[in-house]
Amino acid sequence: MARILEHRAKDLFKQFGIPVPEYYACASEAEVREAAGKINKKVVVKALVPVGGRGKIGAVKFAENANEAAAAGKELLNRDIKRWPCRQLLVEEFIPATDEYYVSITFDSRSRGPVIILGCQGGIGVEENLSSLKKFPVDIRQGLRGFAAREIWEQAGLSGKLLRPAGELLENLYRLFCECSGKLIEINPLLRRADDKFVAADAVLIVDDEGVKKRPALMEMVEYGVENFGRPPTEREQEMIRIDQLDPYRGTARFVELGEGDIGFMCGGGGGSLVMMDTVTRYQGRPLNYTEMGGNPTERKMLGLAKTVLSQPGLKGFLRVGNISSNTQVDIVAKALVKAVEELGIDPKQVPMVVRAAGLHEDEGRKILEEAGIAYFSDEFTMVQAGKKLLEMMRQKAAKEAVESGKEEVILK
Amino acid sequence: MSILVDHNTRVLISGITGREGQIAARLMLNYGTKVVAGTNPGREGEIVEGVPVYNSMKAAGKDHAVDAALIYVPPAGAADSIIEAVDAGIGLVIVITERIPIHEACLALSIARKKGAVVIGPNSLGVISPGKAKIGTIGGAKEERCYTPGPVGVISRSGGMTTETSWMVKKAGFGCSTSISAGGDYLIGASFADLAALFESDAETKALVLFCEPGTSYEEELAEAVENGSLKKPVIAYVAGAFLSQISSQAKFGHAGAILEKGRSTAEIRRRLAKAGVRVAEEYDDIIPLIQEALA
Repeated sequence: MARILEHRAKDLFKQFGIPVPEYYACASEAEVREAAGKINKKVVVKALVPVGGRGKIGAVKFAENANEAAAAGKELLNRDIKRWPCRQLLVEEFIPATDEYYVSITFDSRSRGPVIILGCQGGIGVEENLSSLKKFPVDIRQGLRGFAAREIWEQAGLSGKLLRPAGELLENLYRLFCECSGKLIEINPLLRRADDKFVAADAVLIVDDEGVKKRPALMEMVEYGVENFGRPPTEREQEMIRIDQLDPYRGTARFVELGEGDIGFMCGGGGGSLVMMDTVTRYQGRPLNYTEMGGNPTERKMLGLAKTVLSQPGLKGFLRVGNISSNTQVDIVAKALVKAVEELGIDPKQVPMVVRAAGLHEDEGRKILEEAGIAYFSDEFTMVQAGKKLLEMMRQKAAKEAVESGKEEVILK
Repeated sequence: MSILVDHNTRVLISGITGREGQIAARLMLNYGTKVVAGTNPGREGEIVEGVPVYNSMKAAGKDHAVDAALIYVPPAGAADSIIEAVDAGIGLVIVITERIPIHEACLALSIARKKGAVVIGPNSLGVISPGKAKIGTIGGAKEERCYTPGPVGVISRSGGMTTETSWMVKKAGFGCSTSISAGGDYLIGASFADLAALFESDAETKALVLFCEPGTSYEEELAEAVENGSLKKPVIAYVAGAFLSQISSQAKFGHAGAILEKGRSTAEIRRRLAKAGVRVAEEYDDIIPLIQEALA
């Protein structure tokens, strides 16, 4: 999933006839001052970072004039907002409103199609009041027609002459959702002015990676990796993305650092990784990272992933457990792992390592791993048993070290 | 008995001339599946693994009766292929293709549903009725390692865990009537509840085992089916992702679902299923005693 920043999303809103305030993207205090001067009334200054809930953490500020706007800009620029460095600001006209609404379109697994979510009390804190929101499934074959858009608003609590402009806005928003291959489009708040005109004060747009590939103009607007990591990728993660893309069509290797822990985690695929994270954490093990691996990756990719996982600071154990698979080439996994261990100078006697891999050429894989001092299991162990085995080995090692350091103390005395 | 596929199911492979399609054709034929035709526009007249290739499913349909279509075409054409199958009157469509754009997948699934066709996937590994037949490469060339015949129906969101879970059934001393890799995408054709309804009316199936991942409403729908009495057979479920509540990372984990519906955590899904009467495994290995208990 890929996110489009607010100013880009508002560019698209304008193209699709959805009213937005006057806005400027600014990268310096001077630009903020200039933009606020052009707007020449009360403005809103927002951090252009790809995260929600900015209002609650002070990343949205109000300013009466250009001086105040510049001061707000100075405060926000280059600050970290939920771990994203704020390099740009959105300066936009403040819209006095009589009402605030919540509008979003996304997919719903229950109706297996698009769903429109409306609330007549939008704004900050709508997440805490989810029961006030109403869901309306859309039949994707029929699309969202004008009459249906007005009906939906009426059911959400709107009436009278507001129905026509609100319906038109929703129709346009649905058109944009389809055209830009949207996964989520959200306006919170949608403002109603005293003259009964609607204005989108916010614009969240998350698009489908696969759908966007067919839309080159959109691809340029996309902030990749946002939803994959929830923060800017670390150096090690960026390196792994690079390795993954060397062989884009042969297997996937996803790597996420968790910021603490002592176990190098190289399990897979998607479901198997979840099971092993569950297992390790259930027995108080602490993974350094998360990995998903699947689709029979090349040896180069496997080696890259193994080195990435094994080179993490604080590593005290290593786990590579996968489901029984007819297409995992166990010998290739084994070779890559042993090569990584040798290149990094890791001693499996010092860092317990457990592999559970059942698939093609597993006898050869077993031989390679056991010769290198790495514990190997095929289907004599369940996945859970293999995970627990590593934790047991790590605890034994820690206990032994504790005894030895105890002895040293005795000798020193 | 079994569901969806058996000795008599006549299968067409869309994308049979590709590398993956060819491998699938060979493995399926070796396992005893009736692969009657394949398609690739422009390649009509060719033969792959002894199977005739046609330009379209309709053309294949003139020479062969087809019960199921297996979709192996690349993401850009996969939605088209699903609609083609449904339009040709094929009642079962198994979609292996990953990364189909969600709007296209949604439309294709919607059209299929309207026509009453059952779609497995997208992003499925396939379906196997052990000892009878399979659709997809599921089980590879050594199917019996994990898939043996028996009274348990397996449904999994994860392809790999379909195999592992079926092996756990074997380890518990039983076998599978049919094992289904239901697909890991956010939107899938047949949900847990849809497939459970088929297992419910299958005489051979005595219990169901589910491998679930958080992020969608599919478990909730299954819980409702158990509660309203339409699903009476014992159900055992493992819901992965308990660790998510213990880490602070905002990253994406597991399959496609997780982001769109943040509301339902693994713990909540487990509670919901347990409340409905599903036997919920605390850890993955617990499904072995739970199966033994359910079938005792």
